[in-house]
Amino acid sequence: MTSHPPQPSAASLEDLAEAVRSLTGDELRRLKRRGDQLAFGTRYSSGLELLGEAVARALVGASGSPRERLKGRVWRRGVNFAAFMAMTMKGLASDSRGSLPVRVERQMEALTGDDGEETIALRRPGVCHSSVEEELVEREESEARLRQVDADARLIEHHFKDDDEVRAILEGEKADWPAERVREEYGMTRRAYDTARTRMRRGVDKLMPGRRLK
Amino acid sequence: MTSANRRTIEAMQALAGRDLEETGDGQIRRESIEDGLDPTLEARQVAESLDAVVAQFMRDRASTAKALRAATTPPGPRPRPTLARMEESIRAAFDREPRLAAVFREAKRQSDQDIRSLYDDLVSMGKIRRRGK
Repeated sequence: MTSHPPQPSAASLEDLAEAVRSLTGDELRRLKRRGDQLAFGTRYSSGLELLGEAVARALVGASGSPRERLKGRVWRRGVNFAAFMAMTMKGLASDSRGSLPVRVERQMEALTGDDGEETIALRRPGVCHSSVEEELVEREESEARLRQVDADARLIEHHFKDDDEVRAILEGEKADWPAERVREEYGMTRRAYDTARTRMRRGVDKLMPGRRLK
Repeated sequence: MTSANRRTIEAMQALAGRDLEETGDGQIRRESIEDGLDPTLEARQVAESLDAVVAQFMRDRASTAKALRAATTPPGPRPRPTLARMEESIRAAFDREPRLAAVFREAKRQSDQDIRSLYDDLVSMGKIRRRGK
């Protein structure tokens, strides 16, 4: 029988408010930048908005009944708060970018024939949605998110279209290659790889301000 | 096309995230300056924005508790201490938790009704134990 160490207790609302207030200037700048990176392809217009949502979810997670806590993100004492915020932003961004569109894509695949024509199941009320209105709203939101993913990916690709090294490390990452393999395949030194990665991060930083209409 | 585009964005985020982790605080401050930003002001703006999120959450929570109380409390006079005692309790709660004072800034310019309302809010949040006259 294996014994697990006791899980640190969930922070109270007051602990959480204090942790937010105690973030240092360096941590705040770092979180904003990480938020800016993660906001691409999501419904969040900036890293600051995403960071604010992460704090709001953590507040929900620290308050109310166990049922209410399920809707939030629970920060446990002993976990580095800035790291927790970064992970929460990553989860929110992933939810916004991926889950709903993927679900809708899968629904559409399941409910359409090989030729893409909708089957009778798609037209049957209540199969996917409880009402026509809900279906329309969900579909509009999903399409808007899919458009956002496409637009932001094009923005990134266009921005780096003349930078072979940045394009190489992006392709390597997409193929799940370790850095060593990317360097070998594209004939890059460690220094060239590192500077290309920093160039990409700085380029992305500059894409963020005002990149999207509110 | 969307799956490929999603992978592009996720690849960028993974690489940029690792690079940010490996970049020192001093370098990030220098980059802020290069971008024409004042690092101190930048951090302060983020802090203020997060403060506003916390304050709004606390206010919403208090008003939800108030609405719930109104819906579940039978009509009639609610037991409250004297105004002077309520003010004393509020001051003590603010001294114990200075953040509460920031959340309820309006408490500094209060009418008698404001004090009663603020007292009820703090009772509902468990910051003051209700006591009668």
